[in-house]
Amino acid sequence: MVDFFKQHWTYILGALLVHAVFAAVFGLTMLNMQRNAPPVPMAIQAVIVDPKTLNDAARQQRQQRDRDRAQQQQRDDQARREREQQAQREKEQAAEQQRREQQEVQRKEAEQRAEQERQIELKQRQEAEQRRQAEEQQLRERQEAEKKRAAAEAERKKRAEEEAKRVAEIQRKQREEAERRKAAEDKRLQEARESDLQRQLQEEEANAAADAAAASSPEMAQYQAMIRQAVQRRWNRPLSARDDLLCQVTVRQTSAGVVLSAKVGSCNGDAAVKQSVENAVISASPLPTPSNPRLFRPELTFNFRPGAG
Amino acid sequence: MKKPFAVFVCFALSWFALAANAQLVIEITKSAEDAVPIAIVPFGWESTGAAPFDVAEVVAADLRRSGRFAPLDRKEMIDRPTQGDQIRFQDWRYLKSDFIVVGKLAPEGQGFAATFEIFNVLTGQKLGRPEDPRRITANANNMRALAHRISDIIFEQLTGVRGAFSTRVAFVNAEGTPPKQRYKLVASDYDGENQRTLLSSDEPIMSPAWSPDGESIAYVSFESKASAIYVQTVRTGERKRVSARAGINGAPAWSPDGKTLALTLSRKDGDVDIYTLDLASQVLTRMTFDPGIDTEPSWSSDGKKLYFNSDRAGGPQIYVIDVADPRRATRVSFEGGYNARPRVSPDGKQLAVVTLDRGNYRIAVIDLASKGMQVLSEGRQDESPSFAPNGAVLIYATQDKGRGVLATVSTDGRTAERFTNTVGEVREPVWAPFPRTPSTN
Repeated sequence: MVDFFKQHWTYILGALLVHAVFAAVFGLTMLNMQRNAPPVPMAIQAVIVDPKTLNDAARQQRQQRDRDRAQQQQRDDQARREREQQAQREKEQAAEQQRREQQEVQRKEAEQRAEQERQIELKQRQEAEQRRQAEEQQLRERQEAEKKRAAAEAERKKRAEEEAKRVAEIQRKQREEAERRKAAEDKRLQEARESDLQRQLQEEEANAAADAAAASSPEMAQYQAMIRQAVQRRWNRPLSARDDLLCQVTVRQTSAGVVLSAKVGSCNGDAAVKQSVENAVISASPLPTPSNPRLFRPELTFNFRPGAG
Repeated sequence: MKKPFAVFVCFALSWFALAANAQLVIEITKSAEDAVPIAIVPFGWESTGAAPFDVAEVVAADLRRSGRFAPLDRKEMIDRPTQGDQIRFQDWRYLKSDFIVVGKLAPEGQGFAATFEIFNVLTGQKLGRPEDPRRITANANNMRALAHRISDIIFEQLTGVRGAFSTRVAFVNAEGTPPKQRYKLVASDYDGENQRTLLSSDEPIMSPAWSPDGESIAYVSFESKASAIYVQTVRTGERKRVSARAGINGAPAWSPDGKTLALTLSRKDGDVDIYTLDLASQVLTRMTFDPGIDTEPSWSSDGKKLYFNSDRAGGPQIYVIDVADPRRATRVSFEGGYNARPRVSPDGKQLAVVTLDRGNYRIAVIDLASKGMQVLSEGRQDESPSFAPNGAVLIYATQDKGRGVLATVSTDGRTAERFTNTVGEVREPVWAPFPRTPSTN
């Protein structure tokens, strides 16, 4: 039995629900009829009826029924009218409701549109604001970047300058050091030189005094005259030699007077003249040597100047 | 503080250095009177047999006569190089030769070709042009001219002055004894060789004078019994009488431009004066106005003055006039009682004259700037000096064993030489100018 319920509880439940629904509908209908039903106790009282009275009673019953019917009718009508009014009212209420609802919808729609528009506007404003902000941001970023770059640049420059300064400073120091060393060295050399020079000077002074004495001595004059005569004896003045001839010949000689070289310097004569003066000196080799060795000169200059003689 | 001291020290030192080690300066104001020693080595002969001509001998003689060179005696030569790479300079230095000339002679066609080189013995350097050895060609009958041309080249190389060994001279030659004498006008080499007779006459010929271009000779001829002046073209023998006036027609002298002759003319009263004769127009212009004898004119090298011989002060002396304004004569010679036959040197600085020097007639030169005189010749009867065109040498006539011969003397008086290769009596030699275009043989 239980299994049956267990197996078919859905149908049983369904049947119970249907019964319940019917019971409910019945109950409701009964309630409704009790309120509209004529007072039954009265009708029982009238039962004492004569057959005239019964006829009357029967007529009276018919009339009653008629009245009842009429009343029923009336009530039905009333109910119908009421229902109709109710329906009308309900209808009107519904319409009103609907209208109100419609209005509400419209209002809501309007509100929604307005809201939408407001939203759009807001959105636009927001977007604009965002753009503005973005732009500002970008600008700020650029400015920031620029600032950073400038700062970096400045920093780099500063560092470079500092580096340069540092290098310059190092170089300056090195230079100064070198200069200081050089100055010291120079000073040392200078002092050495000066002492050398002074010593040399003293020596030279002594030598020069001796040389000067020798150079202006009769011995010197004799030495010069000897060389002059030796060369003049060997000079064959060419025909082309002018009266204003001046030819310089530089001669290097050994201590024995052997002519090592004879170079014709400035000379206003022609090739024959130049050759003649060169040959004069070469063929005079070996040149006379001085009695005083101090008078000897490794280099001699001859001025061939026949116009002066 | 320190610096000025150092500078001072430097200066002081350099001064002392200069004083101590200065080059000794020696003034050479005189030259040797010696001639330049030079070796003219006999030329090699590039063929069989004996050499047909001794080039070196003629060259050495030329150079010796110039007075500027002393050619080494051939006997002293220990070597006979004929080209530069054979010369051992040490040997020639030992022989004291300053220069050496080596060369070769070779037959070429109908004639000969000579090549030669000049070296400075002292330095071993070759002289002259890079393309040397120089090459000279000549016909077989013109070998002397070849040698003279070599002499010219050597002379110019070593003296700086053009050689005149190839130029000609003219002179008067008289043969026979008076009254049967034969006169000739002769042109020859300056050494008397290669004589060529330009004119022959039984009557005297006098005073030959070369035209400046060397093409013509003016002279005085007595062929028509009286004196007359002729101008004869040397090459053709063609001649023209340019002056045959009464009395004396003498001493023609060409102006440097060759357009005018100065000459001596006499007037009837015996006044002998100098005139100029324009050869084209025959116009005579009187140049001297002294009543004495004015003769032997010689043009200055610029053609503006005439030097001449005048006895206006007694003995003959040299005077000069300005051709453009001849009235005033200026005396030039002052030494000695006799100075005649003036000849202006090519450079215009000297005057060669015949001067009476201690009883001898000699050749002298007067320095026109200083008027100082130097006697050059040493004869007794020297006459008629004439400058070589390079001014290095004078030719004149002198007596050799009683006979007139040609002689040369260098203008410095160093060297004189007589040429006895002429026959008869040689008078009045005159040296020709340089030819306008050098001969090509």
